[in-house]
Amino acid sequence: MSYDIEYPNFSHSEYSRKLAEKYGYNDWMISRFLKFIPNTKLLLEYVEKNKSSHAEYIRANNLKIDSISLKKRLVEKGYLLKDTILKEVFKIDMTRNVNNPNSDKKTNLTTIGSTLEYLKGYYYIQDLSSCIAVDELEINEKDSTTVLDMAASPGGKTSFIAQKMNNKGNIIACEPNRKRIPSLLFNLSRCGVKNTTIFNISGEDAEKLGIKFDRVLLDAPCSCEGIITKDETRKKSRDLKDIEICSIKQKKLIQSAFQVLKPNGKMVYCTCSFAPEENEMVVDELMRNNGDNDLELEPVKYGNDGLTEYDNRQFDKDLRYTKRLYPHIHHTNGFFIAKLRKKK
Amino acid sequence: MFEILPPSAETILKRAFNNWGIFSLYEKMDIVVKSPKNKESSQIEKTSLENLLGKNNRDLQVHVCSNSLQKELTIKLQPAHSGIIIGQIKNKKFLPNLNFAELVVKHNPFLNYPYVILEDKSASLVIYGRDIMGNAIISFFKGIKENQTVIILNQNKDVIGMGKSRFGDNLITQRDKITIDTVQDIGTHYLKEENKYALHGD
Repeated sequence: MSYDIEYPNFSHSEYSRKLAEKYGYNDWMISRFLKFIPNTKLLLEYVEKNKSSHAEYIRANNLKIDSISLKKRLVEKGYLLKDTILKEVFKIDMTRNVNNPNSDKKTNLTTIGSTLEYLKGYYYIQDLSSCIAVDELEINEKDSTTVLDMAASPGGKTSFIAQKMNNKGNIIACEPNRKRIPSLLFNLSRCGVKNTTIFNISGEDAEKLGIKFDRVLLDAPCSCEGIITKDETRKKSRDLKDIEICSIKQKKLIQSAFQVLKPNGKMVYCTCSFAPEENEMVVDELMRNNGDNDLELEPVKYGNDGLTEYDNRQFDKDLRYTKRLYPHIHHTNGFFIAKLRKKK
Repeated sequence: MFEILPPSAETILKRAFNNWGIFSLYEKMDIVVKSPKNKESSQIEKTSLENLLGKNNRDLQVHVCSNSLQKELTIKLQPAHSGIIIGQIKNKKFLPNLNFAELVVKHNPFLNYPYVILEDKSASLVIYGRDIMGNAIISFFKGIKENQTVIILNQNKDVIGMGKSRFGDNLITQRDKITIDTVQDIGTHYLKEENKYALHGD
């Protein structure tokens, strides 16, 4: 029997304390995880097991090379690439060499971030979860399409949007932190992106540009709980106050995003956090503030259904259309994706 | 500050596109230029003086936009960045960068421009800035002149850098001598930025 079921009253239980102690987390994190992450213990074990070799994905940059040619070139170099649910995205197994796939010995392949193909911008190292979020924007390749990326650096999702648009139309990328603009610029340039205009402003101020958008991507600044596999410091470096601060910011950002959407325009809201306060609660508040006549949630294709209740609070039933991705279930970063359409 | 292409710069760019065999591409491009912000005020004074003297020596970054709307927005809203940078106009000369080289290679399939193709081992060194020995060159543009800008390619015809020739014609392949200085390469810039934001869930 799963411990998650055995201890229904999780708050600071002996069980959560034991798990926190064993895996090196803050106790409050585990007691919260037990409330909304399916099979929490498996997640913690997964994080431990994969902290030095987490799943790595690359996204072929079709602005520069087609996916098949890229795969061929990397396979020739010895990398083992597996297809994923997205045709542009491959999972890389760095522990195996294509010439000897059954050997357990670590290969001497150079890291995937130092190949010629990487430097040329033929691919971008990007988690599958991020790619799914962009894919859900349902972007058509049209000259007239205008897309807003509200928090763009370091440019992975922006360059994927540009790829979906085949460098046509217009992307407006907001980045409030001036220090992060060089990395954004570098990545866009490396990937051959030219349909993007970068503004050194907060996404909240996008309305001041006087533009309405067909699509908006809000990859909101968050507590980043979902990337624990990649960054172990997240086990202890955040507290509940951080989640609250993020949640307040996210609620402002999502409202701003909604304001600049054209009628019938679509918005994807995503975070790399597990916290319902940063995910379902943010979307639920937007729905409460704007009403059923103004917007609707559309189903996201991949992942576990979003929560419809948490901590004695009921959310709009359509929150089930949002999706949660978990490292131990989906082999991605922890991620949340909601897709909304503006009705009028 | 972003602005439309001044006539003097237009002439310089057209000449450059023509020299690299991609003149027909020029007319299809939506180009804006950016002058460095921190020099803006002094540049304006300098420009006025230069205009009086019939000169215009401002340094300009050349950006290619995707369409006319992006170009309009760029001039009107003055963003932090727009489009893709293909080079710089400095002292009345266009200095192309690697993005420009990509355009040349893509739109001039007959290799009708100064280039060299390197064998694999040298190509992997050039990526991080190593100069080129004559014996590393397995193929080259027959009209290469001394002190000319050349596009450096690997055997897959990927642009891996840009260089300056020390010799002309067949002397470019002299054994055991550096015959081309690598001026720009795809790896050095990346090294500066490497893993800066690797942990962000992008």
